[in-house]
Amino acid sequence: MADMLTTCPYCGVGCGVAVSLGEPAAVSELLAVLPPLESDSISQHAAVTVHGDDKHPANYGRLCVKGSALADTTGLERRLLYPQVDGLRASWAHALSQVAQRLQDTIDNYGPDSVAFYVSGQLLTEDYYVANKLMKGFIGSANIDTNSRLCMSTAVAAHKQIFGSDSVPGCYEDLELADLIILVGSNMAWTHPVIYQRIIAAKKARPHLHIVVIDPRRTATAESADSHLAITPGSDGFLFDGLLAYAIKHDHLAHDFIAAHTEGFAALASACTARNASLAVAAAATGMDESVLSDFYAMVCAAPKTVTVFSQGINQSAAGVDNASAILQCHLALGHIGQVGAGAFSMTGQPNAMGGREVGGLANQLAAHMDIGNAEHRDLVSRFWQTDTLAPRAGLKAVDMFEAMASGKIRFVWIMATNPLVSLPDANRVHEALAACDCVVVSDCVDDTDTLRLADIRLPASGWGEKDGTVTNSERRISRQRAFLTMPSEAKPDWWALCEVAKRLGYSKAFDYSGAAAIFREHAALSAFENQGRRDFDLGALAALTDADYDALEPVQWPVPIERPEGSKRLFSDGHFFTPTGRARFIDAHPSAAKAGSATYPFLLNSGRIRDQWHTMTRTGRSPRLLNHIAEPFVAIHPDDLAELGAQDAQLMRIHNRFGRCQVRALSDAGMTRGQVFMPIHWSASNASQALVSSLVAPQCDPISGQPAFKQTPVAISPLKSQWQGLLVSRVPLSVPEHQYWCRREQADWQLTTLMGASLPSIEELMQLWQSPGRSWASLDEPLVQRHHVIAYDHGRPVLWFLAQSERPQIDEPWLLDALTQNSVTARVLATGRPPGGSDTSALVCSCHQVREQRLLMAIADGSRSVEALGACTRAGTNCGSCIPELKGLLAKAASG
Amino acid sequence: MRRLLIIGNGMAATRLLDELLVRGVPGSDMAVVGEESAPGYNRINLSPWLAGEKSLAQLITHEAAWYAEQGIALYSGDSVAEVRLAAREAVLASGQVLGYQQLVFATGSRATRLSIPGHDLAGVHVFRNLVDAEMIAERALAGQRAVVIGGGLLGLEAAWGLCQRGLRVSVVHNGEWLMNRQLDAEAGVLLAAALSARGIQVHLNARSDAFLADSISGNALGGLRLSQAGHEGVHKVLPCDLAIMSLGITPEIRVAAAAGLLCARAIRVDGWLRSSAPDVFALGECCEIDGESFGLVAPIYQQANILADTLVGTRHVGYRRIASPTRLKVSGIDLFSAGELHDLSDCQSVAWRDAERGHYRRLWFRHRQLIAAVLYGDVDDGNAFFDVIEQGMPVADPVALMLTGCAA
Repeated sequence: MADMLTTCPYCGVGCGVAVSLGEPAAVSELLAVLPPLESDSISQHAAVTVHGDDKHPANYGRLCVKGSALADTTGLERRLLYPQVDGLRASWAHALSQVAQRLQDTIDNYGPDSVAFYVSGQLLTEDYYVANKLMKGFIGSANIDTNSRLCMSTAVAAHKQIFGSDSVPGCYEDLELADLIILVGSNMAWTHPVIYQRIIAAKKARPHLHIVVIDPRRTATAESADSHLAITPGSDGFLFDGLLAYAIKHDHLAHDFIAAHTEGFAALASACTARNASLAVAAAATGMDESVLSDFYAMVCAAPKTVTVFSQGINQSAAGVDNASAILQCHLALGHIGQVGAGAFSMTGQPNAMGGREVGGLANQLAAHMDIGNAEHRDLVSRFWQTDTLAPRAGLKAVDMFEAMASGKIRFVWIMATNPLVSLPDANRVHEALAACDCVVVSDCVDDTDTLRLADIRLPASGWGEKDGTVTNSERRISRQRAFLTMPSEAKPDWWALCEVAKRLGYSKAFDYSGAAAIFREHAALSAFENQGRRDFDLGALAALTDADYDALEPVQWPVPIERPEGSKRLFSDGHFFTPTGRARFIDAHPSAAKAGSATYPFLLNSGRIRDQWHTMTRTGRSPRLLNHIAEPFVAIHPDDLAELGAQDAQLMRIHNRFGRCQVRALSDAGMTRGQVFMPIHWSASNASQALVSSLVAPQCDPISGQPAFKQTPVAISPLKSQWQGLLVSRVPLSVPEHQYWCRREQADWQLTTLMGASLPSIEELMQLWQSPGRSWASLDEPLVQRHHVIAYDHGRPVLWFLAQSERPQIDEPWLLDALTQNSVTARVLATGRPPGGSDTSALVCSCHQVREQRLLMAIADGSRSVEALGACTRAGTNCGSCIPELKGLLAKAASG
Repeated sequence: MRRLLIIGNGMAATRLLDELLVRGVPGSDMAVVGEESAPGYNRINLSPWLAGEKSLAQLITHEAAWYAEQGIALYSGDSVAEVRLAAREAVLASGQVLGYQQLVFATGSRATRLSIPGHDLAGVHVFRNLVDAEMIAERALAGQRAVVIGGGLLGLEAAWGLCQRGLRVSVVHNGEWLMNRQLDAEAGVLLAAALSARGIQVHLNARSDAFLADSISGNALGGLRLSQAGHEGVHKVLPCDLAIMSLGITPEIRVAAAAGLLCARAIRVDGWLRSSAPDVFALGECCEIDGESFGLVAPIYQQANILADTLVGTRHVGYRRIASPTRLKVSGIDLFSAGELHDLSDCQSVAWRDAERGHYRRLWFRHRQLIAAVLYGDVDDGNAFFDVIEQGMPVADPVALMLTGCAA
């Protein structure tokens, strides 16, 4: 079959993906388990292969390791395949009626503000548009918020504050044309690898391109940068305030631009003076040497073209809007905005965070970048939607929304394509909130998440490869996400479920769409409605697409007004902004002191993503090769801090504060600053015992954006003593013996559970725990070093493999799983955990080509002295390049002996 | 007169002949007296022969014709009644007198017998040589009941052989578990279970008190009366038509002792197999070196090699004790045992059990040194364990050694 072009469902880069389909795979086993209730049968999923779309302007054929592994994630295992109401399987008709009835009953009894939608940057624009229209336009409440609140709302607020509209000025190409790139609060090498690779390629072509990384951690991104400023966490505002003061003091200002296109600069300048903003203050607050800062400031002021990329390190802060505004203002003051190769660039986390903003997915937005607080906008949208029940005011933002559930103000919530129990701060409180809510509806494409466990009604959503619609990436580029697989069993698009509920609520006329294309046309038409250049977001040229045009839509950057169908690379090039005066606004975003640890909670916890996983791993966790890079949660900590705690690398650590507690392994990391620790966000109660980092995070938000501060959480850390560490490999999830820690992942047909515990159960207890009729056992009896080993067979087929010992088991997992699956060797050979003759069980470095550290060290020893040489020798780093920083680290380590 | 006279034509003797021929000693210098009428055969294969797994031809290692070809004088079916050391001559049972310059005792051993009531009844046998085997085979008819007394290796092999011939077999063993000198209790239990599964009943801790006559003929075997250790006065009778005593061996030293050679349990020889009399040697099961006597084939073959050198006057390092592992196959079950299993009370052991395949192995360590190993079912790494025991090196990871056979 010819390639189908679509987009990747992961980060905000929005890469184009070309998909080829092979022969359909048999799903008879699934059919046997899940006979379809309604007429449609479970479709047969074909063998899928993916590669980068050579022509897509986001990636030009590149894919990162996650995108490259997309084909591993399209199977039907663990899919939610039919609706359920109150724990029982139900027809769609019944489930939809129940949703509508419970929604209407709640509104009737408690008013429209007693219901809420909590949606997601994983939704397509069309789903998002319909959800927002139903809640704000017809239910008449603005209680619709999105998980983009957790990642992008700060950038939105800063954009609107400074530019007058939520507009990302630049484009990816600017990163290749800049002289200076400042990466703030972004571990781009891991979180947006394809853009990072574009930057690295640009630097290779133009070596004078200077890259500065600003991050408290020495991340993989910092490894390849020209300089790294490891500032005090949360002190970004001071850094940029100091830059502004420096530019004023040394007169590096773009006077003409300030005069012609901005307002408020004089007030800001005098405010700076009044609060004594200076190099010295910035140096003290950021913990940097004055000379280092002054060099940095001089470089920024001298650079002809600068792009500052900011991401979660800026956004997820209690002073996020101030800090982001400070960045935007520095660019205004230096005239680096809307120019080729110059701009401030907010990199979005999610695949369609931008699309959600465009339709008004946030509680304080309306639709099409209009403001809910603006009466003119409300009138315009009311007329366009032909409704007289438009929400009169902003709704509750995510954290407040769940607090309102906990306190009984919100009694109905419909959660779509997101897992707030894992992603929202103060997870334990979120659990209470959902438990307290009368009716929780969850639409998801997988059958088990922490949030789904609390759902009253579960609706099976279509997933990537099945959904059809559009997404917008970080550079305002709208791309089609196309379906290339039929929807399995009873899965349906979210827009369909929303429209069906809307119809049952009596809004048939407003929600009678023939398909995604019709929704998109309406969305585009609304953006152009009475616009005439007054609003940044305008898709007028796309409002009359035929279904065929929509199917064939090429990636295009908005605005796409009727007169500019080719779209727009950059905004503000003409100096026009979308404020009432048309001028950008300087405001006094005075910096506030960063959070610090206390005697009780002396460490500051930072959180974020790792290279090979996405969000809560519902999709990436299904790809064996992605789990090979980092398979378990961890707390990264400086080796000296670790030593001071009397702990060792990989030892189990307890991280706690008054909100919650986690227990994960220590990862000794010299890239951490002392007193700071880092934990990945991906693990939850679904796959680990106590690794939910959000359970530690205070529900403290930026006062303007409502975005929670995930990056600086005071915690206490103490090491735990484990008597044993184990690995359980089983065909089905099993209960685990008494433990301090477990972490489960899936590899092909096997569940792998890593365990640590304080007292090891006896072989007899283990056999009893896992006993089953007809099961026979192989076991190791080993009193010398307390190593326990059992392997179970059902009818001659291995079903369970367990090892526990005093040290962390070192086994060759790929070999073991293959040997278990093939039943090719005796239990005694299985027990060794590695093939006869030994194998490489060192850390996996290159996920694409599955190259391990030992192999690379051998290649280095054999004379490979560069990333290129290593690539030529081992293929490591030659596909997505995500591991190049790690390759450099190995080379550097080898060079320093 | 031949230069060299060898008394006995068992496996030690035939091996010695081979070694001498290799060294260029002409067959015409050698004479051999063999008690059995058969020429050279492999005694180890008697059990498979009884079980019908090997033919008689497969047993024979040295045909009568071979002796003739080599020019060796073979006196088979005859025995030496007396040796006169001073005269350097041997008197045969047939009356012949053979002179010699050098004399080798290779008289082997005889099966130990119980002297309990009824031991002379028809149907009570030992199982030592081809004649025994043929007698047993002749008497053993399918459907009959047989008792094997002695749950050692040979007893179990005999039991399996009879079982293969269709008899209903019981093993009576006066120990806590089968093969208690080579196996630990757990392997013994597995073995007993496996034998039971093959139709062989096992009676442990059982003392044989009397063979009982068959009530019809009165002179043929009809049963075996047992008592159990610790349960005096409680008897049990196993009805049986055939009994085989398999209770170990006694070195055959009667002629040597009578001739005045220095003997203890066996004929005492030095590391070059020299006895207390000049030009008189002994090897195999009839000799002992520094108090050690022999039953397995490997040290005996080593002795044949040394003795051949000694006899032709070549310098050879003396006999050095080489422990040998026991690698056995009983009723299709592979077993392996190495090291000292007598006193393991101060050892720690690691064990691997695979109930799925019926495999078991256990290693015993004393201060990280491997002392003993027992393997049941899966004997792949036996030789590796044996080497580790012999080399005595400390073992860093006992479990890895047990699972893989690799000490590193």
